[in-house]
Amino acid sequence: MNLTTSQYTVLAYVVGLGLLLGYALAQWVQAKRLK
Amino acid sequence: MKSSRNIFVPIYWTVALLALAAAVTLLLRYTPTEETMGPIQKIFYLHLPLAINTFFAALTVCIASVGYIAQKQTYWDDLAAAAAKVTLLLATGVLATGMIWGHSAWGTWWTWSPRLTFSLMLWLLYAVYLIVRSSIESPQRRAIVCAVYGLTAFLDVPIVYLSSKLLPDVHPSSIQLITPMKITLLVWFVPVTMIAAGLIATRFSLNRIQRRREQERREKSSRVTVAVRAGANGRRVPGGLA
Repeated sequence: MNLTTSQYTVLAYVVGLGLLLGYALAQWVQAKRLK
Repeated sequence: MKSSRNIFVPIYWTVALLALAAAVTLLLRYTPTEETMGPIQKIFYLHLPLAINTFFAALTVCIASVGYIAQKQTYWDDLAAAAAKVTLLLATGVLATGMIWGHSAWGTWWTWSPRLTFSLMLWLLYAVYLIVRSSIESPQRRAIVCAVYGLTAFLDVPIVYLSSKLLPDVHPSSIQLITPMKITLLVWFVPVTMIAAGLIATRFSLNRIQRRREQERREKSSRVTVAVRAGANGRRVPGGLA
């Protein structure tokens, strides 16, 4: 994969924040179903 | 009490998301680009808060495990389970951002340096913790086995921290930052810590609800069993379903 350093930086933020916010969203959906 | 909690939760998440938006804006508009590494160094502002919060989440598992061993209360077990999930999530984030940084800076996705190896071990330890949890059916047995495991798994955290300081490592043990970079780093700690703590708290409350439901289901099924047995013996069960 040949990306520029700026693209690698964006990729890292998308992956890192995507994990956190994705899990938060999944929990929110589960909370809605349980309540 | 319940209504104040209902207001607190959306306010908490709104503040966390606003802090995240502020941190991103700061990163794009204010933070200077590091001279030797270039834009790739900006991964650091997410990578380090994720790593520190991984340690705090693992510490929460350890404290909750000690709490369960000492008091045998189910909320300690639920807290340990919640924190272990978030530890694994955060460790995944640390490894992923680190690998992307490594691929750009060192030209390889992975190298078996002490810091990276012990970080991968941390990820595996908490992945195994969750596998162990799901493989034991008895709630009491599961709680005590996981408490002992959670306590032991924490031993890897100081090893990860000290590995690049005590052993020769390609991973830097510290990075020199100028003041605007330090400010950005401090600002990034706010949303990442808030999100990590919020995820543990939400997971914990979901675990409590699931445990209550499971208990109710178990009680109901045991009442049905008693009623069926009593019915088979031709007796009436006071308050039973028969």
